[in-house]
Amino acid sequence: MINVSDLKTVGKRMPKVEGMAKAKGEAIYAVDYDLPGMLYGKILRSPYAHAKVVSMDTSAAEKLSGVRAVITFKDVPKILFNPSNRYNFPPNIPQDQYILSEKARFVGDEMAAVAAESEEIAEEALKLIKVEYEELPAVFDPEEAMKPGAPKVHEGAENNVLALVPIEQGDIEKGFKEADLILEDEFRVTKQHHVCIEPHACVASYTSEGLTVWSSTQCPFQTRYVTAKALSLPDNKVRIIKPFVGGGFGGKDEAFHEPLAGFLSLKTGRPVKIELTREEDFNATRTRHSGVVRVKIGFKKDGTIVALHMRNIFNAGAYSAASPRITRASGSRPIGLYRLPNYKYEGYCIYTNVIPAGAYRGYGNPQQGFATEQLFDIAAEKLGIDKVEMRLKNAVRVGDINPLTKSPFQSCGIQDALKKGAEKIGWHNKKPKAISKTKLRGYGMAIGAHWTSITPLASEYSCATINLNTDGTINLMIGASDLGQGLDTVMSQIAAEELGLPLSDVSIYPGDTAVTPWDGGAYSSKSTHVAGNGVWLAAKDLRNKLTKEAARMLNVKQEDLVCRDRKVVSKVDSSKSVSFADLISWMKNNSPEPYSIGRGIFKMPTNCPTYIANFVELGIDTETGEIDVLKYVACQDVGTAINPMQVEGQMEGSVHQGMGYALMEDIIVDKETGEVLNANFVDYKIIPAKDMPRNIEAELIPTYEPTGPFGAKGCSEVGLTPVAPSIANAIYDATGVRIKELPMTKERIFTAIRQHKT
Amino acid sequence: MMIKLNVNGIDYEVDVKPHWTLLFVLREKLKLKGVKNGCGEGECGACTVTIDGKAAHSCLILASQAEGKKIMTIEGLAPGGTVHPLQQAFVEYGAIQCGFCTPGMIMTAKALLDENSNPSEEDIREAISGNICRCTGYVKIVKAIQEAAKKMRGA
Repeated sequence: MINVSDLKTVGKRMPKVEGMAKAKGEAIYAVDYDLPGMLYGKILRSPYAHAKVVSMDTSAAEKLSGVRAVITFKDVPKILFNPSNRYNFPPNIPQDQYILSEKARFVGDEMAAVAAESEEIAEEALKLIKVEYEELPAVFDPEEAMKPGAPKVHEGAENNVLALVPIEQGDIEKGFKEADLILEDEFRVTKQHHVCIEPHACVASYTSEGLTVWSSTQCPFQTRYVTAKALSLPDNKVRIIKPFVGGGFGGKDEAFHEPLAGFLSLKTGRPVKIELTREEDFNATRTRHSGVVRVKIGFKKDGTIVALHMRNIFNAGAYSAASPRITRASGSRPIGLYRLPNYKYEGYCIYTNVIPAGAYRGYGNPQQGFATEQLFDIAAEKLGIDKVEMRLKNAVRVGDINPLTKSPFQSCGIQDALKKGAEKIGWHNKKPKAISKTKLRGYGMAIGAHWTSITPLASEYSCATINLNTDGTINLMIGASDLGQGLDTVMSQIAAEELGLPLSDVSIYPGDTAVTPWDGGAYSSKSTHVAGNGVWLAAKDLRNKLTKEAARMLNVKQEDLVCRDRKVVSKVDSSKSVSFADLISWMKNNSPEPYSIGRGIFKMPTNCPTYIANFVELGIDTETGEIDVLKYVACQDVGTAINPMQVEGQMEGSVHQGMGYALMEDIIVDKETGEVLNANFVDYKIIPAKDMPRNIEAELIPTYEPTGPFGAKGCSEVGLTPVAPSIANAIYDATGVRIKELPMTKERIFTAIRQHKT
Repeated sequence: MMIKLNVNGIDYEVDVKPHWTLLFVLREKLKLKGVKNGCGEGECGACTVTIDGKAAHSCLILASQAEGKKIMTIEGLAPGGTVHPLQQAFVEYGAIQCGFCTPGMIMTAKALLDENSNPSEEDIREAISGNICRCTGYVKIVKAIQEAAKKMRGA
């Protein structure tokens, strides 16, 4: 175990390495690229939720001056693909999309596209495309879609079941027989949208050298895999470059318009930019999965959980994308958090005619957390046990067998997080319930865990290379993706620490599939651990090479040498030292290997969840249903925080997004037409600064994960999971009203309070 | 039609169509890509610039309406190789994550601090409520603006 307080760069509140470029407006995002001769691509979207194209006439659009290409399903390759395909993972991933479709499966489905000299011309041309549709019966609700005779969204999916995912451990029947208290309930969850402030965008340029795409993506290598398959190009002829990305949160996890823009570029011989409007981003990209979470849970009198049976029905929408994976992931969440001797999960992933759902911060976790964390509270009350005690009793701890890897958990801070959070919110010393005549105070809490990577379900690995410059500074190349969460800084810190360099001596070059080594992408809270270990190995490799050369140069033993302050120094005789710059110069003339490259290839051997406990104190106006969060405390175990300031940023941002999910955010689909009704910032509200609580406290719970780089593990997703249930539990504490449906709008709370009174 | 725009202290003559927004002209004609387009509807604040010192959503203003006024974008905030205290504070206090809202956020903050050198937390939160940030929860943005204000006051 490394003593983190001895370190110089890791564990420190380092400003972002690219911070100043962003503050000065110099940071270039995909949408900012303008190439010589570039055209603008626009997409014709279906106005119907379910319809067949009877005829499509593009002649008028083609004749419009400035139009360079008009394409429909007839023009694009007849290759089915799945935009979330991760290098053939999962192996049986449904391939159910073409670049353009002959059949519309949701309002917003992509039917035709135009490339023109300007955006205005492209928009004008879209209006000139004449399409005759044959409308088909549509279905929007997953429970309706499962009924016999429901409209079929895809051929071959019986009752629109895209995937049925079972997970089982122990004996669920036996578990319920042992239970003294059994609760059963149903919770409804909604379609939250990522709302990255940067809408999806890409610029594609096809030349005789191949296809290059600058893309706002979280997963450059996955995007290359999908784009190459969709266009029948070899990997070495597709180059995906990830410039700065304006937020991801899962929403840029898949390939989006790279195949389409690539095809338009191939067809016109010109670069093509596709930039979605905010409206398109809202109604035609991805959302969090809405659906129903049914939970049956059994406890002993002393509060020990003995059985949990969870059945989720997830609305996948019109295409598979990553939905089967997310449905599975939702079922794997409780076993990372609680000691569950008997557990059964049935995940139903259902096609409907609405905007497809996809990855979103938490990946199935917030949905199940909203249900299970409320049931823990209900059980605690019925059994007369303190709610914090209930969690302390049942949460996993170090030494417990990890049900995924079958090896013991080596780090777990949930117990300490619970105790710290309780102390900070004043759990055992609560203020009086009445705040004013109409305003009541409530306290709530909830916990969560999130797996770091999807090991062992898939092989997770990441690579890095380090090039050494003549003056001893380094260039670090990683395939992993920073979307704003701070990965470039964290990776640079790891390399700097290992090589004894100041952070300013590290320049990082990420996310270019032609030059950076492989990484799977930014998902499943894995990058700090998996990519971080790749960087750590590369730095160790380079250190080893440098100390080997220095040992020859200084005539000392290699094992006595360390790297610090830009030098290789002997531990036993500090007069024996050489600066990196002098060593590199010496190597040039005196070493059979005159140059050194550090390389790291890391394969994730285990899985180590990050844990969080959230506590909230809020006030509710019982006459309006309005909630005022008075204090919010989040206590998280990320192992070693490589950069505590950035971990706090992830936690604070999670509270913000989590409060949106809890209280107001929902993509509303018209029950008759399937159209998204709130595809703008006026109708889909993001909580502004003035309405956020003044008092959000993010507290780090120190642990050390032995498999992680300098003891670090995952971070960024789990923070959102406990927010909605903690608020729901606080609403109950204040009013006695249980809200089982998201979002918990003031109208919903007000109505529930009214009904409760009568 | 030809219009004259004064942006970051430079006079430009630009051939525009009457319906083009200031945002479009700044980004596409003057290539000032630090000005971001987050919604084009005046709701997210990513395109905020200052016009005669006041923060404005450049997507809601026609380019021709900005004639004769002094426009400042993020690129003009700190001349040459210098750094404005707001930029320094945003970096130092962790107020930047993805950075897409940052230029607009900083320009809004600049207009606020020019008008009120000692804003309260409430003043700051009110001022930036037209700028959506999806990453930070605003905690560190508010802190950065407070710290920059302090530094600019010489406190």
